[in-house]
Amino acid sequence: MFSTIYVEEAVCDHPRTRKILQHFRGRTVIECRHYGELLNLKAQNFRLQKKQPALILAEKQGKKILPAPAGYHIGARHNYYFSHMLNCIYDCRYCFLQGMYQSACSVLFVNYEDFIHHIRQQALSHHDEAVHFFSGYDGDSLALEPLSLFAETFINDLRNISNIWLELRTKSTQVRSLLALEPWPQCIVAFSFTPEDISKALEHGVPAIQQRLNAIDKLQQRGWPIGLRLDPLIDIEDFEQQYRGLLQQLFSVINIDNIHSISFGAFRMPENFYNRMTGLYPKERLFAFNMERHDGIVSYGESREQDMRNTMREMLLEYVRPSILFPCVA
Amino acid sequence: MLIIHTALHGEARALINHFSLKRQHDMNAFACFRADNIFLIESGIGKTNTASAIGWACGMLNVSSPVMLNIGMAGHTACSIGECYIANRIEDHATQHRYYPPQLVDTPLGSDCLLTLDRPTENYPEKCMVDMEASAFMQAAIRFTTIELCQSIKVISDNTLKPAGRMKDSEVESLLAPHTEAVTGLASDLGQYRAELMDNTGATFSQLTQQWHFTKYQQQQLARLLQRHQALQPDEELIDTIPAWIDSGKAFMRWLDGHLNNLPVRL
Repeated sequence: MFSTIYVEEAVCDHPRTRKILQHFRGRTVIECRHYGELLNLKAQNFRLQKKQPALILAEKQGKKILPAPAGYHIGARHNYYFSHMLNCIYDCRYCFLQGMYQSACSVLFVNYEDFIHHIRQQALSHHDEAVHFFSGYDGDSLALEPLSLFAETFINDLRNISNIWLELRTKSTQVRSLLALEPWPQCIVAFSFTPEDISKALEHGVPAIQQRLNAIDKLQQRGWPIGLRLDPLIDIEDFEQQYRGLLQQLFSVINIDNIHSISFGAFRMPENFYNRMTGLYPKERLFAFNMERHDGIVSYGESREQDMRNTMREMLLEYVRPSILFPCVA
Repeated sequence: MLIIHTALHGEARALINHFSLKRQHDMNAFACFRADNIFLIESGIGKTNTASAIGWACGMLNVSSPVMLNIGMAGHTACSIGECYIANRIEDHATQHRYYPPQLVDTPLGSDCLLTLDRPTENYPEKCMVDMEASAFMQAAIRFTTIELCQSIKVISDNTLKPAGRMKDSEVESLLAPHTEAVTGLASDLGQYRAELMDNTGATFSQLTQQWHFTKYQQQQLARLLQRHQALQPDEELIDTIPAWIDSGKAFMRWLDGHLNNLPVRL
């Protein structure tokens, strides 16, 4: 998966670093001072690096958790996100990470205990009110679970705090560690989907929909709450037909009683990210269709977005109650 | 385009022979050799010479995202004479600035860290090679290309058992020659990566800009329109489809934009 491993000097002897490196015996391990030395260099090419991605084991300094973007929530008033990883092992052409980072190196922060401490403190500051913490904004939450043991560690350390809700967002099928744990009703395992044709065209390296559904089936049988994330909605010629087919596929496996929430929102992107992505992939069809640029955001346009959300909402209401639907308008 | 940099003629000789490079007698600033898309420059020893040579060569050649290789000798405390490594981390001893050339190509060469010094030394640092050019090569090269396409390849010429001394060109050549195949393989693979970054709408762009006037800003818009056309209609010869009524660059761009916007959205 990773041909080269970089390790920050500060975490060379961290027990988690040593454990993770056991998975990479024989690979080249290179010490660096700070992950920013690799991630922030301007003269590098995300697209080329995706061919042989590298992993950086690092220490997260400074703020560990941040307020979730305005307009993104799944039912709580207090929403935060955190990133134990930067960048993703998958290569989805619509992903904002291509526009945000200069490098395709995946960064894994090994100081989980610091994240956990900050999450606890933030939850305590809201007393008994539910606080949602989202993981998987800057990288897939479960894709590296066999070597990172991220979910296992965080769930075990946070589950005894009554007002914490944790979302693990993923496109992965790496659910073995979750299946081995006692289900936590306040941990939502949220899977992202696009219709099969779109997934094949744009989600490179992502497990097939049926494989992800198999993973969901195992989780729901075990009692884990499931989230569905239909975000981004991609506008295509037969939009309604494609997404209707996807919903049929999903709800043929997923028990609606196990679904905690479904969020959905149209593809949109900060203009500077979009420009960079277009520069990386000038021949990508997704970027070749007409898009609107307004207030620094590239999108399908307010009216088309509204149509897409309405269509999706109507289709979803054929299966589920409205209270679990959360359109993303951020 | 492949640009090869060496400090010394002896480091270049095996590659000059392998690629049948010809001396460019009209270039006097540095000794330069060329054949087709391969350009080799000998800078002389040290960081200043290296940065000057790279800046001069890239400015003069003016090519987009060339593959750039620094090839030369290095010292090491323990590695055997003649072993060849690709540098996976290059540190400038004076500034402590580091470069991490991504290792994207499967190569038979091993990899190791490299420390670039201002002066020769016999006090080899632990666990890394030492040279006198690589950090300057990287600093200059990444102004002209992306770091994935810049690599430094070093053959061990001295170690604690056999400290650095003056070597004849033929001795240097004999150290480097066994690794020519690995170097050319690396260059070839990097060349394929480079090809992926190249825009192949250039011919159509030239044809259109000769036919009609486009301002600089319009030329940028035109370039993107041609990319969009290629993404959406890869099999269509654009020039053949331009309606006869179009009489200006502006009219052409309006027509092409409308044409592309009306295409059904299929991925």
